[in-house]
Amino acid sequence: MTQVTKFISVAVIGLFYSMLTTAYTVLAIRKAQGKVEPATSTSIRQTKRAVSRAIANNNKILPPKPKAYRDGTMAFLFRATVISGAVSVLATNAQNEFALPVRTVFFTLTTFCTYVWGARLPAKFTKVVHPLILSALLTLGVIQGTSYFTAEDFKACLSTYKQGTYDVLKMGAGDVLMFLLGPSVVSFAISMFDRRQLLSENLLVIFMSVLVSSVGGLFGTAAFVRLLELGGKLGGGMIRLSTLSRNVTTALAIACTTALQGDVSLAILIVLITGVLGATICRSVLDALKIHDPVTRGLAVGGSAQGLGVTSMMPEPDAFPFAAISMILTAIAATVLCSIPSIKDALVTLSQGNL
Amino acid sequence: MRTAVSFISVLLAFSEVSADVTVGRGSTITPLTTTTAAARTTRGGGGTTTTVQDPRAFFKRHSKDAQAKWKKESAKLQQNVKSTVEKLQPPPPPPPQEPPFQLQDHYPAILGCLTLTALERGINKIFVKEGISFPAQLAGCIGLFTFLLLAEAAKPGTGVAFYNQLLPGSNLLAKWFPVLFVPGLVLLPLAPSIGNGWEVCLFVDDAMMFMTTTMTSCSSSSHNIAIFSLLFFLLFL
Repeated sequence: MTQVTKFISVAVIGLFYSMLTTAYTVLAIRKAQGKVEPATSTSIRQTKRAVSRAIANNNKILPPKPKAYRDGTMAFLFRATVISGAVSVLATNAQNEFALPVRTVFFTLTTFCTYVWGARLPAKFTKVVHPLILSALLTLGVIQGTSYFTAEDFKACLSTYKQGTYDVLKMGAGDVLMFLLGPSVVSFAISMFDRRQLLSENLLVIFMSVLVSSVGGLFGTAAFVRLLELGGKLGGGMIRLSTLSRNVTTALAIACTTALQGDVSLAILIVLITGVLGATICRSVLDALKIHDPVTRGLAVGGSAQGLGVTSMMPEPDAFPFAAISMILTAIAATVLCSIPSIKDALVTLSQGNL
Repeated sequence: MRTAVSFISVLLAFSEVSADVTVGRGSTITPLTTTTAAARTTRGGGGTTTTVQDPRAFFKRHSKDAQAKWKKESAKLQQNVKSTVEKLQPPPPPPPQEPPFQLQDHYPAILGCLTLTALERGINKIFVKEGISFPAQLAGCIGLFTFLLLAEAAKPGTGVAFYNQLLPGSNLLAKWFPVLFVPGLVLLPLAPSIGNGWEVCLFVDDAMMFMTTTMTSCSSSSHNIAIFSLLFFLLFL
């Protein structure tokens, strides 16, 4: 089995494992509490679907939704990127002392511009090619172009994208964006406070689901990557540790992987694969398993398929808030666990070595 | 009795029973095959025969014409309904005009962002100074949530007031949140290798094919899959 097969099977099997363990734990607790409503018949569900379809058709009369980002934003970013790109190439070729900060501005604007462009494409396209992937590819293309015009090696040029410092004159575009990740994670507290009533009403169920998805996700993945011998028989330490945060939302997956000393890029890749797969199949799988309880569905999808999975739950208004809560709390719990030295050591030990 | 026999013979015609079956006293039904157009029922002793038409043959003969006619009629009807509905419905209103960008409209959001950044940076400095390896952003998140809950519990309305102050900043960060994950993917060529470009392309292509078949809205987007695979392959070059 090639490493790619193993890597992707960790994402696929891991998704099913997390979703099903969380779903059945929550379902058992809710049944014990007597909170699960009797299953509605197929005809009622079909009627509900027909009603929602009729509502959706009715909405066609409404004016088209405004795009995610304004035309003005796109025009400004495009102009600024082109101008800063020209200045950056000139400054690098002239070996100006401010060449690096100008390049940082150029690459930062490029990242924003390509993402906004990708997000404004038709929904049918963005469903298949996520703007995140498109932005990364286009940014890599721009870096390749810059390396050509400045007669630099591609990897040397790429390494200036992230310098690993927050010094204004030395930092790269990646450092600027990583810096902004900090306040974004702090802002999770605002969304949690918004849903405080829902949290207090379902405390036991949410606590158990978070426990299963975070502890089960971390230790289950660690055992599975060891079983698969991911990264080779001698223990592909960094690759194995990068997969452990597969069901943690990207922002905290970075913190989680950094704490475990894995590779951030691989962690983001597995999180993205899990998210896209989860967003596509989770609801169908839960339907096939006849799990119709909205609380169970929300908690299972949020705890297994993170951000993109939560977005896929939008057509189910009863389940959506639970998915959002589950996503945030699973991420927080997993990151806290990875930050505790003894648990971190246990995860490293479990994921390494041969069977 | 004759009706009963006719009914049973029709049922048997559907279930393709090939053996002789005796019904009642002395009455037999000749098995019906796909080639026989009619079934003959012989009543024992009496010598009377009843002809029952094979429904499959009937359907074969009439279904094509009937279906074509039905399709034509229904298409005509749908077209009529569609044109009537279009006539009755008012034209969709034009998309709303974008208001011009005013910086002062965004002051609350900028202030909220700065507050959240200051909080995270402050905690980070304290953690670095004290040698604590816990992520400052997570400590900030848990700390802020606890603070809001305690403030609301101490004096109802205080927590909500703080929440309202920070909400525009939180919304602004949420709007640009996905862009912050791009660096991780951009730096993928510098990450330890898990396979060559072709392997990744092949598996991602398979995975996307599988996913797309389940996506009702994108069921015919094989072209997009091809583009996606190509782009993904380029990423790993």
